[in-house]
Amino acid sequence: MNVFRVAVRIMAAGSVLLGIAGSAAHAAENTAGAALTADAAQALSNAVFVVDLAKGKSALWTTAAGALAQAQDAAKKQDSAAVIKHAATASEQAFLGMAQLGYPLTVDH
Amino acid sequence: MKQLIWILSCLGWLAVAANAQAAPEDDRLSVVKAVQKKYPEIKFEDYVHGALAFSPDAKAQYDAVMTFPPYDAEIEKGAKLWETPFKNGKRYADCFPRGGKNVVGNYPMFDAASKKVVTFEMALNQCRTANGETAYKHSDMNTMGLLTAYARTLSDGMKMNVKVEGKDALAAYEAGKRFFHQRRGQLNFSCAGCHISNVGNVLRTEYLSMAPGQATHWPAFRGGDYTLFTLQRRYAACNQMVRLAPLEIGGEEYNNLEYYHSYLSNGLPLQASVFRK
Repeated sequence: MNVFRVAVRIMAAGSVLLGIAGSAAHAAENTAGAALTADAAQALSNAVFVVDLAKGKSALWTTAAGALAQAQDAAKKQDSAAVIKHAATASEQAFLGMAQLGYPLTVDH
Repeated sequence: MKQLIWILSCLGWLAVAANAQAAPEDDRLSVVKAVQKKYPEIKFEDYVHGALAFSPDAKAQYDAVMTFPPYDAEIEKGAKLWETPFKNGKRYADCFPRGGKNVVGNYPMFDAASKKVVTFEMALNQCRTANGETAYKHSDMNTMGLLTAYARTLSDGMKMNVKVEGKDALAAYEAGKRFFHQRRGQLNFSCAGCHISNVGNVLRTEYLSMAPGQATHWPAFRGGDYTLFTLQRRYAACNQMVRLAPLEIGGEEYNNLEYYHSYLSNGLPLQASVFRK
């Protein structure tokens, strides 16, 4: 379960950092006329971070990677609602993949 | 008193050294026993046939295909790669004992200097780079795949003899064992869950093959178009099927997995090259 705890801590810290960075970035984007809402931009940033984390731990589900790709596609189309939806799926599934590393090993019988 | 301490210390180290090999051998015997308990009628030596061992019909079809293997032209391409001299005039055969004959059963092996598992593909690349050539990509079936497919034919019939010696080797073996038993992907499967616990059961119309024997027959030509699959490409495909993003072919995790996985096939003869569905 140590891996699980570490993942939770890293994600929490990352979320805070990305929350700050994401808002700042968003402010800049708004002045440039970007159409994504602050929530969508932050959700996407968080999803990228968590998916990268899961990939680094060799625990990334294809479904998480697929959801992130959908979120990024939605971002290109400036569809904030779709970005939030897919980014949430990506983050959740990436997190579940990392949590899986704490599962008991299967037993030979 | 000093002598007694010295003797006890030596005995202790001997016990540690013996245990380094005993633990993997205990693992292997335990897995083989688990399969034998479930399928006592299947002979140990038939484990090299994998899922075919559960279906006489499928085995008959396989035997028919193998009468005139339709992928022989691919093996010939691999032979050409093997026999073409490097720019410095040396050949792959110069890099291996016995000119590369009866060597593959010893792979993967553990390199104590680099503290890494060395797969046969890595040894082929080491041969290339030592002779001034660029390394092949492990995932490139047109170069590394074909070369490996041919090179393994030179060890056809050699019994697998993977060794785990020393604490670093044991750590790599244990890492591979953990990978094999770790649930992964959205479908929450582990290698062991299918190929030990559910061996012989049918999943998506296919029998699940037994873990011992699996490492003996790769690369294999698979499916209707005889696509070449190395063992690690198969790992990647298996991971993909349980919805895990595949890891790097030739990366440390798959290398350690191959080390453990191949150890389970010790004592079984290599089969090169074969067809699998």
